[in-house]
Amino acid sequence: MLDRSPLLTLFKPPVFNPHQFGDDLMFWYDGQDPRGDGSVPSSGAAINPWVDKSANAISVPQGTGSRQATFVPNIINGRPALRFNSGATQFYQRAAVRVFDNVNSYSIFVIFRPNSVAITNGFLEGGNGTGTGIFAIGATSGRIRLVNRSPYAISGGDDITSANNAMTAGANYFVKFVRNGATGNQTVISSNGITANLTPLTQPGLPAADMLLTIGTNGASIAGALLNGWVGAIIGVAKVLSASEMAGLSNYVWQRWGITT
Amino acid sequence: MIYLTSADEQKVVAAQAQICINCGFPNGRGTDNWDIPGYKEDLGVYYIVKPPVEGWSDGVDSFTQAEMMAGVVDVVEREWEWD
Repeated sequence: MLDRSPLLTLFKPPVFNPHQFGDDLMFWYDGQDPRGDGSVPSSGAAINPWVDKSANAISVPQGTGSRQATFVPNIINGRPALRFNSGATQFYQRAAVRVFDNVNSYSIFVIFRPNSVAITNGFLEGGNGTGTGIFAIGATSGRIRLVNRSPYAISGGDDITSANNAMTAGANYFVKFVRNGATGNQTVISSNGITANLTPLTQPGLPAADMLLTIGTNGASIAGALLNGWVGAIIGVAKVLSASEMAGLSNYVWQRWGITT
Repeated sequence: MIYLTSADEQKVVAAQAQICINCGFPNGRGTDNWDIPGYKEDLGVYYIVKPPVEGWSDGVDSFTQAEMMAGVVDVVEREWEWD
């Protein structure tokens, strides 16, 4: 009988991971590897900081114990994630972050399992510390939303929210937040097929400026309207992905999270 | 979520300080305190988060809720959820 195993080894396809975006990878917060070193935290361990696995090393700290998310080893299709508590008081934040400098197109991907969609689950904000995000993504009452403002407008901006509730508590989602400056489109798409599109865009691209980067808010008040659920990953890329790149990422999400994108 | 509250801000500050003593905060590994006192205007109380039933651990140190709450006095437990 022919031993085919060497041939299978020789022709094994490469495994995609976000590092393949190269310099375009802005940040990669991995709930399966929150310390970024391959170590597995104990179940329930408070995580601080949440390490950024991209070359930018924008790890986000949280020095207050009650506000640190905790590691859950088996939750999103049996894979780990960080639990942001039912009190929606937990978040991570880092000042003077330089990301998306002079970027007019970007893509942010989130893997999330809500515990509640009754609140505004804010995934990520790059802002100026006053609660007004320069870019912000979240799920307002389960409706996925992307806001892009520049420089730090108090209101308005390119703001798209899905008309329909994209999420229900206890289910797992892969959500894409995409701003395409070249085509003048802003899109939010969830893995269960909820989508919304905004065109044309009115805001210029993101400036080269320090930001206050926060995981766990979309610009709403820090006291309360944060995040209540399990975050598997947040990945930021300073471009719109090509079809082949999206296929690679989709395969990665399927293999690593068991979610069909 | 359950909070430790008092109309007297110093009582809440003291409760937070006691929890920090119990947990060794700041612990030199990035955790500097347990909570930052807030004020809930509609109830007229200052508050911090009560240590959860499962306690707190960062994988190096672990504390039960009872250990964290040892010596915490003069605060009232109240429960609410943020809108």
